[in-house]
Amino acid sequence: MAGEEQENNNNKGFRLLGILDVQNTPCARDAVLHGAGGSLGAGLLHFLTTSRVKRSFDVGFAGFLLTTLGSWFYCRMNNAKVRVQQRRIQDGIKNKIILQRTPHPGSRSEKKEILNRLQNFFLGSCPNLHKILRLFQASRLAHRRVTEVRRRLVYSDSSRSND
Amino acid sequence: MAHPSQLGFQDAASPLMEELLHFHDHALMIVILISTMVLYIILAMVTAKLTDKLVLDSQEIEIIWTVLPAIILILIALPSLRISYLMDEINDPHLTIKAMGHQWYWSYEYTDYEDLGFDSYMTPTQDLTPGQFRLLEADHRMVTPVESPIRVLISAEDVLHSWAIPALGVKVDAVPGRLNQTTFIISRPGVFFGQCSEICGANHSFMPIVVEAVPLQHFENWSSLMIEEA
Repeated sequence: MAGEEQENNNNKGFRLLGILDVQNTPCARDAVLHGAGGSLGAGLLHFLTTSRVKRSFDVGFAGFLLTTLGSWFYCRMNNAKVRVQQRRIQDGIKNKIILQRTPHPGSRSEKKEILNRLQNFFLGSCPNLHKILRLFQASRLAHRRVTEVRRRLVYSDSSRSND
Repeated sequence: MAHPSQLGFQDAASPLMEELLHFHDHALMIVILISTMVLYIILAMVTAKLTDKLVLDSQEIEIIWTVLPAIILILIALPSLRISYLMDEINDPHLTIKAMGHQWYWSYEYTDYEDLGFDSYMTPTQDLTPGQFRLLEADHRMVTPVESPIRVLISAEDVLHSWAIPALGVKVDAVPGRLNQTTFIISRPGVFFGQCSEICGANHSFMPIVVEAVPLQHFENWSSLMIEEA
């Protein structure tokens, strides 16, 4: 049943030049529609400004090519980024149980360790750098404390309003 | 598997096949646009009423129609090379299976832990049950775990064969006296069909390949059962 429905959809789908299945190829439909819109807009604009019919057709066609290509590459790039993120999430979910309660890259303890290593490395080569690092750490610590205090205030305010 | 009158690729069941589909769409879109442009230019030239007898050369258009095709070729070549090298990556397989081509059946050997081997003959049309596929079903399927890198070593006992499964993006020649290797990861459970892809005699069209991807627990149960039966 599902196969028959899919077969009907595939048969009825529009194929550009008889080969590109616009319906089932990701980004193809959007690219072709954007191209058609761009072609119409560019051709019409050119005709309105110059009143030259044939040249307007040429400009319209060039607009179709450029808009389709641009829309296609932009959409494919975004799709590729989403696919990479999706794969990372899938791997993360799969490995969640394995990595539970172990420090994974990006955890606070690992960041602290990396920071300490960087400090030790650079302190040897640049004596003034440790002062900069200390200032940076101090400012980050201060910012964190301020954020914590703010959170506590907001939480206590909301609990008082609930009461 | 393919549905009747299907022209395009089957849905991807492995990450490599997904990348191949992605590249195919990219290359096809470029080809479509170039073809459309050529058709338009032909129409424009055929319907043009004016002819310029004094045009002998034009440096600008020569530069355009040299540089633009070069750019287009680079845009096609870079993803193509990327996939080509991706296909040859070695990714530490969890399981190795040997697929041997014979006239006219395949045999599979799982020899990593125990000696397990069996032959896979096509199910004759008169023995098919309702719902099974003609010329594609086999009596024993090659069962593999899902989402595990699998290495398949392919060879032949007599003449040239070819082990191919479109949904996984795999096609490897089975050459007598030579061992060819391919690795793949099956992303989802299911049954995937393929057919021998190198002419090998009278029944070349009647030696299908059937791969069944199952969760690891089911694979372990199946392999224990097969070893007991043997």
